[in-house]
Amino acid sequence: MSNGDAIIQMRNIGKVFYADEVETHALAGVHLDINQGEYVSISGPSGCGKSTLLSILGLLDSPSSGQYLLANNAVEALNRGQRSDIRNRQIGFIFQAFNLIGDMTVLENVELPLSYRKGVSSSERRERAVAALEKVDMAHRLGHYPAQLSGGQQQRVAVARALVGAPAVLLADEPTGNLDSKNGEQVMQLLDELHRQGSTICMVTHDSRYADYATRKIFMFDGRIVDEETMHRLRAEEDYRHFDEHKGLRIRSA
Amino acid sequence: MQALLFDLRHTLRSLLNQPFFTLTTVVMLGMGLGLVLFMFGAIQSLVLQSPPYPNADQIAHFGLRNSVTGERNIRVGVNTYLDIAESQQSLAHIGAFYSGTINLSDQQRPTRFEGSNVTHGVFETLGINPVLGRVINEQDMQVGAPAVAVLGYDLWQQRYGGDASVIGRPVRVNSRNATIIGVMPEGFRFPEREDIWIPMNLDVLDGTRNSAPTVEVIGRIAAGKSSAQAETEFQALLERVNQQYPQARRADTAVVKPLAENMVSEIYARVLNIMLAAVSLVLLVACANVAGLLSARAATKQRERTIRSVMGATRWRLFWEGLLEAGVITCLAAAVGLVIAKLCGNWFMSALASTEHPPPSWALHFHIDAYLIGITIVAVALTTLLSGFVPAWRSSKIPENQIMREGGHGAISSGLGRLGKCLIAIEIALSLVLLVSAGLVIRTVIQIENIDTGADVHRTLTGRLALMDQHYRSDARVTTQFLERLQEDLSNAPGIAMATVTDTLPMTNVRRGWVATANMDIEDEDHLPMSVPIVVADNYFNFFRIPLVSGRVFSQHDDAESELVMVVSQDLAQRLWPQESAEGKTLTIKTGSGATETRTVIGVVGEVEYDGQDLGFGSGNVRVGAYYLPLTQSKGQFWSVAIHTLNEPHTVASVLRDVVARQDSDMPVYWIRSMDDWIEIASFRHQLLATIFIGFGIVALCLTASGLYALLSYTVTRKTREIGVHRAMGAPTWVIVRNITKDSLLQVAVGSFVGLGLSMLFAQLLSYVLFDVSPFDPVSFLLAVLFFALVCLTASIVPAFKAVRITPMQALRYE
Repeated sequence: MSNGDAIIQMRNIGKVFYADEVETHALAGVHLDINQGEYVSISGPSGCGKSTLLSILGLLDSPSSGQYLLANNAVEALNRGQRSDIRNRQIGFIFQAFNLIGDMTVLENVELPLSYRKGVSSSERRERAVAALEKVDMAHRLGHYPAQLSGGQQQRVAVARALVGAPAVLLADEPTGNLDSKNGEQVMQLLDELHRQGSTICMVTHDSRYADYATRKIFMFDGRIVDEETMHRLRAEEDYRHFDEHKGLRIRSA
Repeated sequence: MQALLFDLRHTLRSLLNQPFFTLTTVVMLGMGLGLVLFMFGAIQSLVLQSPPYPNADQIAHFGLRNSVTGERNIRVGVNTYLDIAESQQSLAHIGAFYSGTINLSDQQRPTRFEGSNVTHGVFETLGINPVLGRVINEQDMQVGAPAVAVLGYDLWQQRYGGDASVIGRPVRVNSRNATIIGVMPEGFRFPEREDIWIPMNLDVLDGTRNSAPTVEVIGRIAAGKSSAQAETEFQALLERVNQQYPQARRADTAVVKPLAENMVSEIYARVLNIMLAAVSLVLLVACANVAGLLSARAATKQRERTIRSVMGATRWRLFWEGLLEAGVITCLAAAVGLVIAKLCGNWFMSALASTEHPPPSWALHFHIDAYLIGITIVAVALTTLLSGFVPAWRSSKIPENQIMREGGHGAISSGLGRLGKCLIAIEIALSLVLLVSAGLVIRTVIQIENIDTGADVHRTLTGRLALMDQHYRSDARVTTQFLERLQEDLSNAPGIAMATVTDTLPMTNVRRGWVATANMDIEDEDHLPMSVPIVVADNYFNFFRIPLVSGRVFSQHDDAESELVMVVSQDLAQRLWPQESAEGKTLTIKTGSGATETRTVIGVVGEVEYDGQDLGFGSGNVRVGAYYLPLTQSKGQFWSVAIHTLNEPHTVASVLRDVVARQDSDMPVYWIRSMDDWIEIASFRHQLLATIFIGFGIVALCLTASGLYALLSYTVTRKTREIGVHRAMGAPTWVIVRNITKDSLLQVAVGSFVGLGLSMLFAQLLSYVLFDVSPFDPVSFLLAVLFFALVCLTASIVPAFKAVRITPMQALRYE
């Protein structure tokens, strides 16, 4: 099943959470390949498993079952330290809430991933951080603190931070969720530009307008990847069932 | 290194951005560290510091340890000194000395100075040369040699204005014509606070070996030799002497130690160690407090750490970052601590200097030196680990995927929880130990200040006389006549109701002597009972209103020619002859000259408290009773006069001086003090100790109260939403208060319970400095607990009040 161009290969990934003797299947039988330079969006209703999938993609969590190859290396069973190292070198994160550190300047925030990498001198760290900030047009705000920036500017700094380590893949979790439409549009154009320059991007979004920026759209429902048509059908069925439950009727699914 | 600088820069900025937190933690930890550094500095100055003599580590001090009792004696007999001087191969120089007071008279008023009688080798052993003239040499030691004196620098400056022509000047020293031969350099006051040195009179070797006067012996270890060799030689010498003089056999073993270890009394060393133990508790309280605050801060910074973890920070790196923050706080606190240590040290040393028997003057300086800096570095490392390890470790344990689940909002889970509660309980327990300790020492001070001396000391002025002139020493009757005449003249002087004479006043004693009943073996000195010997005039019991229990007290008929008699105190009588009458029994005692004599007991009197400065310090707690000898049947050079005054005692001080001067113009009266002054002196060291323990207790209490306050405030903040929900559902105020304070009350209860247990253990250690107070004194324990509960309650009120004022709307809007 190996695909020579695929930077990410997931085979039959499952994730089960246990809480108070309740077993929740967040992901089940997920197969996913993402090729080098691809721009993928993941959409789906709340609780469908998007964030769980992104956590596993970003090595923030381990799958309960299945195989995950990142740049042809099996990563599903790595320990915390190994996952930290790979996350630092191969994955860039962009979050909905920006997640910049308030006590650090823009430059220091962007330098942060490189500060965890051995063998990077402070001058190189600074050079690469400035270059990343230039890419997102934020090099003129090096000494500012996050609180002194607008939401859009903060997200651009977050993008620079994701880029600075030259990761194999950028993972974006609702990158426009905390932005107004104008700033949201600007961030999407920035990601589009990065994609055109060769970055591999995997983005979770609720918004179909932004999903359209991606070259491939993935839909999820109840912890599985489905095609767009299936997702709409399942959603419609669920809405109908929900409606009938409220009317006191019981519908048994076939 | 670059990562360290990166993290350090961020940590510093982060702390600067939260000045209140930073200031609070730095001050709290600074107080704990400051007190610990103060104690280490004090121990360094008073116990560990080398005396200021060239190559002081090469100067050895010769002492003995009784192998039966284990007691150490820093003095040896003069004969032993001479034997050592003759036989030792491992010493380059050797000298002996004993300290006391020395009368100096010239054209000015006769004055009694602290001084030492020394042999010629003392100055060579110390390696100190005079700034003027010469030191005492071998010729000065010869029998019949002209008397000489070496002056201290301060005495030379103050009495002779630094006049260089003082060398060769005739003076009278201890009522003998003498010549000033030298002046020692500034600061030299060997062994402790001496102002004058005279040759030791070695013409006292006519007694038996056991009755020989005792001296301290010091020697400079010769090149290529060691103090261990000196000790071996000394031990061999003792064994030889024991074989040579079987009658004088003593169960002593040789102890040769560096001079520094013998310069400060063991009491100081022991008390300082107790204080160090106490102050370590304060530091632990401070560490627990800061650990609690760091945990609370870590909880608020959990998102930041999650971001770092997502960016690739390993757990170790996150742990290191947490520890670095604790390290930076501790370093800042150490700077504050050094300032606090210096202030406390200066105060402590000046307080010690004003005690009756202060440590040597060279030890009374508090320095921030390399030693203290080294201790500071170790303390910083330990404190960083103690206060920062657990918070850093806990905060490094981050579920990275939390960042995905929480998004931009949502509650940050508590990082404090059980850890914070445990830390507060620990603080409460340790603080209670310190409060109980402070209570016990305060009770000791109260006990001493209100001590029933067993004697009427109201409106009593006392003074000390040294009868050094040869005519007093050669004939005991001259001394007796002088003292009886003095007593009579004083009784008739204006403003004086009555006068008496004794060699030891109540509350001033430091001496002990053995007593042996008819069926005890006086050769077995180590096993004989000890008691306090007192020589008194026949009106002494009447003067101090000491009740006669049975028999009679001394009368004019008890003179030098009559039967040797004695009076014993009730305690001693009970100890020696339980269930029997003491009257008519005989007791053998050792006289001041070392000879033994047997006396008949003629009466039993009430108990009087004689122990003074050592009261409440170890051996001072052991009551041994007293035996009294009549002045007319005793010898002695040092005497105290006591006078009942009609008005305030000190108003007749000049009368006392004048009456003495009329009898002997060469005789100074020193230590002119009221009996109240003596009682004050007896309690002074405890007052000092109590002040320090109160300080420790207050610091620990403040730390604990602030820790409790911080925890409750944090609880209120964390439970704001919950409180809002309770409020919205109509919960009454008491429910809100109960929800907030129930945990803290549990911690106070658990902490107090553990603290009481620890207090009982610590009180055992403290019992060394207690007087007439049980280590389990219920009053001290109860008051400490009540006071503590009051403070904890006060610390809980503000957060509880804050919680009560939260409205549902505020709470539900709260993020």
